[in-house]
Amino acid sequence: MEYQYAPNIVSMDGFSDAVAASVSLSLEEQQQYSASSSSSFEPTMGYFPVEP
Amino acid sequence: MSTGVANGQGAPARSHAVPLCPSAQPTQDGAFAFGVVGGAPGERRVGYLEGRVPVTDELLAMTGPVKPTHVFRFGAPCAGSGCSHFDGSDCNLATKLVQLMPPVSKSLPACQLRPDCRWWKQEGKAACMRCPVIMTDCYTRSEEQALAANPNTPVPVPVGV
Ligand code: SF4
Repeated sequence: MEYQYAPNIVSMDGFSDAVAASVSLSLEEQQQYSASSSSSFEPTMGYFPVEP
Repeated sequence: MSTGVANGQGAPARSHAVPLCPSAQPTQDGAFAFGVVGGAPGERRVGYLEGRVPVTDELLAMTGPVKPTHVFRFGAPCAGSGCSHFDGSDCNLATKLVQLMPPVSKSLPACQLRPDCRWWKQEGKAACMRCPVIMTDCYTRSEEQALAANPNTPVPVPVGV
């Protein structure tokens, strides 16, 4: 997987299409995920609020 | 309020006094989208936007039934000690992702966040070379990603120290 990827740029003209494509990919993954219910919870990878 | 979405315009990068978190939540003050997660199922990759798109109801509505953090990468001012990944001086998430995950890109993404990005300021190129596979929320994390994402995972001691 190392160095296999050239980063993409999303033009503002293509923004809506990129979002629509991303939404359908997520829905597809969500279905696969629900089908293999053994998957564990994946924590957010980013801002993680400190417990009060 | 204008979102810059309907008319296809993103705001240009501006310099911030507080470093920006490159994997923020849209609910944070000053949040904006700077990336859209593309790729293929199981091989998702961030596409970097030409501009920063402020978070508005219109933007969030674009993801319909999907959580916006599955679709967008948001930037927002770093929460500092309000975030479990911050140790008082460093973002441990950035340290861990650089130490635990392999690079995926040789070239730096054309990223609008870079002038202000905390990961870039802290880890430099090494963070950017891994950034395209970072999804704030997703269904398919690699083992390394899951480890890095978990604030309870200790920061690995660099080899030779
Ligand atoms: S790590 Fe690099 S590519 Fe990722 S958001 Fe920061 S500056 Fe942009």
